[in-house]
Formats: sequence, C-alpha cells, structure tokens
Amino acid sequence: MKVKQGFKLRPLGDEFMLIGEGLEQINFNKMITMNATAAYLWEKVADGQDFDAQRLTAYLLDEYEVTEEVALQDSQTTIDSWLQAGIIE
Amino acid sequence: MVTSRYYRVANLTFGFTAEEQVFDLLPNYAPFEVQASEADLFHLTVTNNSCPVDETDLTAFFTDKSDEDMPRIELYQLPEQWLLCVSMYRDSETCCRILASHDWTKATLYINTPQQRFAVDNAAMLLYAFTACFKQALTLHASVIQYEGNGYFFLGKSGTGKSTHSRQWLSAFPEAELMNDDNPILRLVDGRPVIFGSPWSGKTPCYKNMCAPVRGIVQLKQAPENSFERLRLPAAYAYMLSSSSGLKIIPKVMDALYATIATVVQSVPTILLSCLPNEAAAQMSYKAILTFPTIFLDDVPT
Repeated sequence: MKVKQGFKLRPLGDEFMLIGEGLEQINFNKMITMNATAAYLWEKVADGQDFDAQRLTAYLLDEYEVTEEVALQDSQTTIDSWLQAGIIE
Repeated sequence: MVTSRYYRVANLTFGFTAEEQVFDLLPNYAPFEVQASEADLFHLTVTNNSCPVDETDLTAFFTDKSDEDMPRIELYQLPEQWLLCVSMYRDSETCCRILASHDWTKATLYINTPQQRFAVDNAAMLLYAFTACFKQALTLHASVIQYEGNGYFFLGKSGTGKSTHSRQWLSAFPEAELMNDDNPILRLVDGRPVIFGSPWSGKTPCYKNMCAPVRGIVQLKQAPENSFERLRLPAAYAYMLSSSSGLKIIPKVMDALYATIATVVQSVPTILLSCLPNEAAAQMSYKAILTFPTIFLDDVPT
C-alpha cells in the first residue's frame, strides 16, 4: 500500500482532518477525520513508503502500549477504512 | 483624466487607477474611500485597451467553472505574471483579463465588455481574496446580520436562502440590520473573528463600512420543518472553507485559510439550521447560537 499524493493532514481541536489539497486532489471533494492514533500512522507513511498491516503494527507498537494482536487488528481496520475512503492505493 | 483612489475594507487598503468616468460606475466603493498613497493589498489599473497577452495558445494552470451561474475563471501562469480570464457565466466568452504580478499586488484589468462594473467588481474581489488571505482575512460567500452589536452570518450554496434568512431576521428582530448580503470579509482582529461589510454584496445594494464581532455561524439547509444541530469542528471547517474565496490550489494560500478558519470555528459556534423560509427559523437560529458560548484563547487562564 501507498498513500495517494495531494493530501494534507491538519489538526483541529483534538481531531485531525485529511483534506485533498492542490491540483492532484482537486476533485476529492470530501474530508476524512482521524483520531490521534490514525493521524500518527498517516504521518508515518505520508512520505509515500510502501506499507502493509505488519508495518503499521510495528509503528503502533513503537508508540502505544498495546499487544501485538490488538495492534495488528487496528492496523488492518485502518488499512480497510483508508482503502474504502480512496486515500491509499 | 486618469486618477487613483484608495479604499479600506476590513482595515486593509487597496487602490484603483482609472479614467475619472470609471469611478462614476462604482458607487459601491464610496463608503470605503480613504486618503492614502499606497495600498496594503494591491493596486489595480483599469483600462479598455486590449490585453497584450492572449490565452489562445496557452494551457490553463487552473479553471474554476464549478457553477453555471457563477463567473468562469481561467488562470494562466506566465514567466513573470499571472493572466486571469473571467467570463460572466460558466459557458460565455471571456469578458475581461487581469495581468498581475506573481504576488498579485500589482495588476491591470483589461475590460472587453460593456459590463464595466461587473469586470471591476470581480477583479477587485478576486485580488482582495488572493492577497488578504495572508492578513488573516477571508472573503466569504455569506449574508450578514448585525444584532445587539454582534455579527451573525449565514452560509449555504447559491439558492439555499441566505438572503431570505437575513430578511427573516430583519422582520423577527426590528433592531437587526443587514450588514452585507453576499461577500462580507471576516478577519481576525487581536485573534478574534470580526465580520466587515464590503463593496461587494451581490444583487442587494448594501455597501456598509461597518463591522461587528462574530457571535455565531449558521449553515443553512432547506427543510420541511425547522431544526438545528451544532456542528462539530471538522464539519464547521469544511463549510467555512467551501464558502471562502481564494486560490486554494496554492499550498501557502491553503495554509493561510486553514489557520484563519481553524481559529474562527474554535472561537464561535457553528450550527446547521434545517429550515423553512419563515420568522420562526430566524428565532430558532438566534436562540440556538446563544445556547453556545464563544471561546477565545485569551480567555483561557494560563
């Protein structure tokens, strides 16, 4: 998986918004809201690196006190929702 | 005879240079005229000469033709300048061209239409939006009411009933006053959102040089009965961004718009009002806003 280019993560209060900005995402006419954990993962992969659920799991375990099982499940859920939103490919 | 005049809108100055008779076509700027010799934002020279650059063989950097009732705007990037071509409607011919420096501070408007006021108003509004965004100011598509010293503004797509909702406020609250009916300026003053009248007010001649602290924002939606909900911050942000003019494809413009809008929506409440065009909707709008506090960062004890 890779993030699609042209998205900007912006904080607002205690939430985060992922917004299509610039010419690349000019027709992406919606906004994805993220909690702090999802925003942390997005920032980790925003450089365009290749990633999968294992990679996200490793990032989660670096930062949060969770079991590997829970982290893997969260990573898979995150990837599924990002795919559905059309922000990764 | 060619002369220059200066105007101050939301405490930001811009200038026009044009033949004397052009100013006779622009009474909407008179309340904003000031004595000045230089502009904070931009200086626009207006002429009926033809534009030295033709866009025929150029590829547009960006085209905004989202709404068939709104002017179409095509932007071309030249080595030293921007060329902006405006037509009155989405599918009509180019009626004026603007050649501007890359920072938009110096521009010339070449008018190719009998609708001179349309051309000047559009050019000025665009230049204002493009330059004022860096001074914590937003050029909003909204109708604004001042009541009890506070500003309330109404957002919604064309045809949703922004002007109608303002008229309902005027009949529900006899002391209320229409500040602007189409393109007010919202600016942060000492970190707090203040709404200002402008020379641009759509079909309603309401060009008032006045301002009011913002108490609340109302996003309108037509519905068979009146109801409201308070919007969460991201939704409030999205509605404010889509109602703000500006070159959103330029990253530093988006950074500036984001910074201003984020402060606005965290300071004052935004409600979504699903409503009928009646006085009860205005009553609900007012009472709903007052239910929620304003929160200014400088109120928070440190």
